[in-house]
Amino acid sequence: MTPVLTAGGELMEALVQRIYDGREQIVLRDGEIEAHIAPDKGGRIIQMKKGDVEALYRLYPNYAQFGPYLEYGGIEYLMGSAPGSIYDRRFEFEIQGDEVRLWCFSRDILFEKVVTLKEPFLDARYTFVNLGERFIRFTFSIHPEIAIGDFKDCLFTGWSGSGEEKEEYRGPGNRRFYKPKENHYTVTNKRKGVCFVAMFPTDVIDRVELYYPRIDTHLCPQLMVDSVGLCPHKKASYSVKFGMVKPGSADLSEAAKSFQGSAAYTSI
Amino acid sequence: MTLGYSPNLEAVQAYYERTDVNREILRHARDRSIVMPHRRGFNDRERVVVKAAEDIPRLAQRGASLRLGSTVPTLYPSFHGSIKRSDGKCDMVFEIDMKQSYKRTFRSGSLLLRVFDKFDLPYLVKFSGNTSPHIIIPGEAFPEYAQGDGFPLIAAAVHSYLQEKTRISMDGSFASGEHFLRLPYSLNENTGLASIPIAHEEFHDFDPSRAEMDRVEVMTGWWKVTREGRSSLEDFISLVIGESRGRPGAAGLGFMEPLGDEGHLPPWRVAAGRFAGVDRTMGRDLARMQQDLAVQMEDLGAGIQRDVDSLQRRIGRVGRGIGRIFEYRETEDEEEKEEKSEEEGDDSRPYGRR
Repeated sequence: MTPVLTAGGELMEALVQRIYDGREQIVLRDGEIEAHIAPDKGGRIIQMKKGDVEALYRLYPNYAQFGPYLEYGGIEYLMGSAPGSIYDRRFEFEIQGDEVRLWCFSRDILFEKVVTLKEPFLDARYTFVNLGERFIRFTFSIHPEIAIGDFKDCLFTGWSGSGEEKEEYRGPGNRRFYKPKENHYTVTNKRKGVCFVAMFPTDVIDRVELYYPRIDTHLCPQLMVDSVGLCPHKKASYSVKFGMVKPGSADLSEAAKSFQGSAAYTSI
Repeated sequence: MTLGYSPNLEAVQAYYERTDVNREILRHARDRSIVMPHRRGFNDRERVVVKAAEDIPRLAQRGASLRLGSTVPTLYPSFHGSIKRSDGKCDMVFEIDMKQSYKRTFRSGSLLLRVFDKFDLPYLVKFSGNTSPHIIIPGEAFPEYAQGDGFPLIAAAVHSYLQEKTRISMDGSFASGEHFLRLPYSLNENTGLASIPIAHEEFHDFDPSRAEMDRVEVMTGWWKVTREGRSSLEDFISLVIGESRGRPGAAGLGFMEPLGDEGHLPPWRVAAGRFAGVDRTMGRDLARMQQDLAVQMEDLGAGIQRDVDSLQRRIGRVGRGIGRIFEYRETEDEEEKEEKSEEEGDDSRPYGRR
């Protein structure tokens, strides 16, 4: 491990490390929680761990190919029609203080995310900046590929207008979506004693799509924004939190109460 | 559920329910054919009837295309009106053919406006809702001869002249009265930005975010034409036609291309090619030509009538001749029958012997 020193000279828990096949990754660690980021593959969070338990399905640095799409695992970002323009793009990054900033361009859009980790939650703020001279509209979705232990033991729980949306493993190829009413969902593996949490602003996320891919290796509760519209020289941003807690933890309910996701749309 | 500027159906509905907005749309929709683009884009459009301001929000609700489970339209409800109105008047529209940058289209547009200002032309500007300005000379500003059937020729000539002078690539399809243009204050179907009028003094600093629905303010008295404007436009049209005739090809009036191969030419050039013989002072001469044509048509009509009468007389004569032949035959038949019936003692003849 190579410790990364900030400009102020403090030793940080954000490290640039080569844990997967000699490539450069960023490791964030706080207490029991660890997150690995792969800047060379869409700046994705390639793994989240609580102790020894991993939350995400990971093939990286290997991949499986499905037509034009290469599956590396982790939490992907899809901008535009799937698989989108940035999901496997190389991101630039810098570590400033306790936060990691990653960015890349997709045509005239600068996509930036700022990630911090404070046990038990990883906070990611996404910003889209239109540097071009025409209005741009696209879809954006966050695509976490979850496999806590055996993913078939996982129970998904979300909340829509019609109440709780609970779902156990239903077999490959199953797909459904709901419009979220509450600002989070959980995926729990009781055997492992771990619950993966995603918190998001309900006024930004249009749909949660729950999908069991045909490859039958993980489940994917996708956070979808149907339309990001940007006038020239304007930027939009919002935040999402991912965490790993014990099932029924008070941390989760407190965090969910205070979480807003603070969407913004301003001039640059 | 939006990020950035992505109004959902509820916000769109609220916009079209604004009375200042829907009344203004109605004002511009009157006397025009109105269409609304559908899912597959502008070619998949529906003709709609707009008679009252309340029709606007009603049609808007029906016209939005939604993705299953989403509240943000994939295609915003948008109203487009024909540039030709039911009274025959046509608006002349100039749209810069560039989609990549609003700054570039507005810069090009400002060149065009410089020419318009130089000639004191009565133009209006509105935003397309995407990247370009729509520069419009209202139909009311045109002299009689440039309206109705005369419009495509004049529009073609003016487009070509401006293209030649400014070297700006413009959408030439607006030379046809059958073309559609997004109505003022309608939303752009792709962006959801409003097609708002732009004051002349605001043109150079225009910022597209001003067309976001919640920032739209209705500009009253935007659509107007002064008497001076009309007179300047008439002079301008004369000049355009004069220049094009004085320097064949210079104003792009179709002299440069082989007109026999019309399939490869843009429509305004084809139309303009047919326009090549018009004399220098085009306005007066076109009117004179029309009068001459009318006289010729009258003469032609009278000639045709004479020929028809003569033909009818001939047919009449021939008909009478044929009639006589038949009469003669009939008489012969009757005589034969009579002779026969006398032989048989039958007295049922309808007519007496002639």
